Amino acid sequence: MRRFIIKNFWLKLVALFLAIIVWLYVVGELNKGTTEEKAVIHRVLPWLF
Amino acid sequence: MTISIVLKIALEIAIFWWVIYAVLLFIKGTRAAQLLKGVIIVILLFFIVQHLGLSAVSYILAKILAISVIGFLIIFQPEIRRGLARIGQFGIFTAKERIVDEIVKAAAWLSERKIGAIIAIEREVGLGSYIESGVQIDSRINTDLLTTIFMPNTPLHDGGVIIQLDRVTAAGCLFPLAQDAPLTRKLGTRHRAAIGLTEETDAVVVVISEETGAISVVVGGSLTSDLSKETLSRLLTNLLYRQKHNETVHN
Repeated sequence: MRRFIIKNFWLKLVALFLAIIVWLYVVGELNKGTTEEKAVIHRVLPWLF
Repeated sequence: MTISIVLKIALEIAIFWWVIYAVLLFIKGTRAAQLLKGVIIVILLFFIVQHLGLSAVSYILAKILAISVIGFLIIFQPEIRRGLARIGQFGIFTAKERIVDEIVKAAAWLSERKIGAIIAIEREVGLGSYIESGVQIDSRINTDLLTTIFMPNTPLHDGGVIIQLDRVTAAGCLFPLAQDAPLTRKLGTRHRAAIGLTEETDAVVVVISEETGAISVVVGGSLTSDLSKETLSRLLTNLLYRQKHNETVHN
């Protein structure tokens, strides 16, 4: 398990960062999120909405 | 309700994460990785400019990004093709047996005639930069093709062959030489090139010696020589299609 996490660790971190960016873009730009989703995101990133 | 929303968001991000990670892993070590870094920087700039309210710059960047989709398809065409081929590989077990079989038959034929050869088989780390140093072939793996390439006094016999999935992608490719001083005295250029390449990538390299006809396999900078046809076949099958974490070569 430890080996699985450590292998290509920085690549995984970059991929996670990009995944979050892509998801935020899709939800924000396409207004895909429901009111409840936006409420959850707003708690984490109040400056986004 | 909130927990289910959080789980849904987590699942969506996890899916994006897995896809992006697979793509990054796929292009790691290739020139496409460098290009993608540039693309990501432009995209991040776009987000920053948008949030800063720089409408004119944002407008220009938006137009550039829209056009760049076509450029992206053209520039990354080899990688997209390779990726789609790899996706289509799942479950096609007989193709893997054929690939190993063709390489082993070619190695045996070359070994009997003491014709030197070096065949690099790509795994997870891309060999794109080495492909660019050679002549692109992009043909299905075939024993006759592999043996013909290495026939002496032919244009492509110098340098190495690179195999990606089930295709001979390029020939006459230049590989980096191992720099270890004791090695340079004992081994010829071909073996040093195989070791040098495997020190920098996770490729599996099959080498046939011009002096002795011995068949060797190099992986992770480690060389195992004097392999029989059967051992070579077993070794390649394990290294290419079973062993993902164990880089040690066993006879």
